[in-house]
Parts: sequence; structure tokens; C-alpha cells
Amino acid sequence: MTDEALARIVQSLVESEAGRAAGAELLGRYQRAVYLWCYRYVRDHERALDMSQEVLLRAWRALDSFGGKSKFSTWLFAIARNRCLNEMHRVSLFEEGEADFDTVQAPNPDPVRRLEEREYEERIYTLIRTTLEPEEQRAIWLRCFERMPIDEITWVLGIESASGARGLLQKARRKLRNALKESGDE
Amino acid sequence: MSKDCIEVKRISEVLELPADDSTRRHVEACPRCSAILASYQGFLNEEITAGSDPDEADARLTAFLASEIGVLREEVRDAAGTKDHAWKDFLPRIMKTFYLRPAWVAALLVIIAAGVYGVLWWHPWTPDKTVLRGPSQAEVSQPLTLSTPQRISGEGVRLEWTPMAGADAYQVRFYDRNLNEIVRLEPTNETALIVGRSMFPAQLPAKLIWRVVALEQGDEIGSSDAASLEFP
Repeated sequence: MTDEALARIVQSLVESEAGRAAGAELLGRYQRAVYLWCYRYVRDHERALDMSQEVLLRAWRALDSFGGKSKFSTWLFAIARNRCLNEMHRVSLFEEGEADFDTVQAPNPDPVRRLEEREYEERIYTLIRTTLEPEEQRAIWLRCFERMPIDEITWVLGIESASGARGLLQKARRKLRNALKESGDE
Repeated sequence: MSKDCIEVKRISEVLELPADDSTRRHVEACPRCSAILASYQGFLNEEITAGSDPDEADARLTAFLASEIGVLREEVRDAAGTKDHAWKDFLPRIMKTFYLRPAWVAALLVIIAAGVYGVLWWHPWTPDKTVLRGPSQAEVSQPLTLSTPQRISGEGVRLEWTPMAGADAYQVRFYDRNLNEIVRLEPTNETALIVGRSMFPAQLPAKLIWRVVALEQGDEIGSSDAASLEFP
């Protein structure tokens, strides 16, 4: 039975044993993937287990909102991704290390400031697209916006060079710093 | 992130688009979307990282889900299988059970024949007559929904569902409470039929679950929600 068919059984028979059985089967299919994904971020078995439990519980409680328009696996991935993002520090775009305190604050309540921030984000997005090679773009995005550990970027992108994603990120950041200097935005 | 960027939960749809589709071209060129797609593929890959313990995690997460949901997955896995295994395993299990036991086979055939005769005698319709009505073009609607089963004379129950656009046949499937498939009827191009207890194995649970799968050229194109069914 497909994931989506199981999800529909959960939704239509949620109070029954059959609905719960379908839910256990559906989430059980992905519990290993969720754990391994969380582990990749935190490299700690117990912490990854705690995060996995939160992801699975959130998915179970939100299954009613799964509309079936997307695949169940991407829906669950979105939940796992958010959980991992919350667990990790934001990384600076221009050098390895945590972002400045200012950049990890909650969104500014001032609409003018929010607009400025949005414009800055769009400029950075354009800078990444126009300055970097496709693989460098993906690596920098995974590191800075997906907050993915460097070794995992090497694995996800299948980078085979000796320096892996680390070398690629160094090169990409150098290019970005130069481009920013040239554009006078620094 | 640009206005063309795709929601994370829909990122896998890109893989099903043709190479020249504008959305797919966007994803391939966009740092954000291509990174998230690569990330999603990594999620599905389930590659084991050094230091992790997926087997122990599996056991603990199974126990956790059992406590939260109220059902232990091992029971479900045995019953439901992961992909329609239950029905595929049904015949071999039966064959194994009755292998080299001609008396059992003969007894089973007598029971089945008696059941079929009973159905025909009590409800003297031909298979074609069990079909109550078919879809007209005007009736075609989406999604496929089930009507409440209606008890008819004797032990028959009338099942009915709405037609689904694009479907050229429908298959009714029955499950026990653990989602173990019990019977899968032959596909029909109609949207209602009558079923009787005698169409099922003798050890029939008191309550069944049924759903209808819409087919086009033999491929599944949709399905109804599941619903309960109880024979009189």
C-alpha cells in the first residue's frame, strides 16, 4: 500500500485501531530515515533520537493536515528539515563560523527594516547566482541556509575531491567576498 | 529565494517533470531549490553515518510510536506488509497449508461450492445483475468517495461509490482491522455492487474495512478513503 493510501486511512479512520495501525506503519517506514537524517546534523545518538521522536510525533499529530497533493515523504522531510534547522546555528555566508548575533535574531518587527532585510537577502541571492558555479551555489546554500555540516554537504553533493565541501566552500566564499567588494556593498 | 522557488514539501514533484519544463529548469538553476532537492534525495538514501546506531534507534522509535499511537508496528508490519504483500502472500500461504492434503482441499471446494450455491439461491442474480448502475459522463466527479453501505435482503450489502474522472475500472478491496487484505474483487467498470458474506473466507472478522481503487488501463490513478463495513 502506498504512503499516501495509508495516510488517507489514518485520516478517515483516525479513532479506530485500523487508523492507528496505518499510522504506525506509515511513520515506521520512515523512522530510520528520520533518525539518520537528524544524526547527520548533530552527530549524537541520543540527541538524534530525541529529535526523531519530536519529528515523528509532530507528523502524527499533523497528519490531518497532509493534503495528499505532495508525496508523504517530502511532507515528512519538510518537518525533519525544520527540526534540524532549529537545532543548528546559522552560519555566516562570508566566512566559516557562526553568524553574527544580529543575523540570528528574530525577524525585525519594523516593516521598513524588514523590507531592507528582504532587499539585502535578494541581493545576496542574486550575488550567489551570478558569482558562483552551480556546485558552489548548492554547497554555500546547504551550509549557510540549510545549516548542514560540511561533511554532510560532501556526501549529499557527492563531492569526490580530497578537500570535499570544505575546499569548495572556501573557494565560493572567496569569490563572494571579492564580488561584494566590487559591487561596493561591503 | 525567488518567487519561482518551490515549497519544500513539493520538491520531489520536480523529478516527474519533463526536462524542458520551466519549473524543472528553475530548480536545476536555483541554488536554493537544487540544494533542497539534493538534500531530500539524501534523506531518502538512508546511508548510515559512522557512529550512528540505526538498529537501536529503530527499536526505540518503534516502541515510542507504539506508546504514542497505541499500536505496535511489528503487528502491523506482519499484517499489512509494506507494499501490498498481504494479498500476494495469501495464495501461497493457502497452498502451503493445504499442500498434499487432498481431503482438506476437497472439503474446501465443497464449502466454496455450497457458499456460491447459497448466494445464487438466496440472491438469484447473475454477476452482471449485481451491478446496480454505472457512471454516465454527467455523473463523473472527483474525488472518489464511498457511500454508506446499504443492507439488502438476506446477508447482502450494497456498496456504492462516486465515479472518478479518467477511471475506466474500479477495484474493491477488503481488509481486516490490521489492514491485512482479505479479498480483492475483480475490477468492474460500474460504481456499485452487492457483496455477501459467502464471497469471503469462512473466518471473516466481524468488521471489515473497504476501499475502492480507481484504475485506468490497469494502473491505479486514485483511491477512496477507507470505510468500515459490517455484515448483517
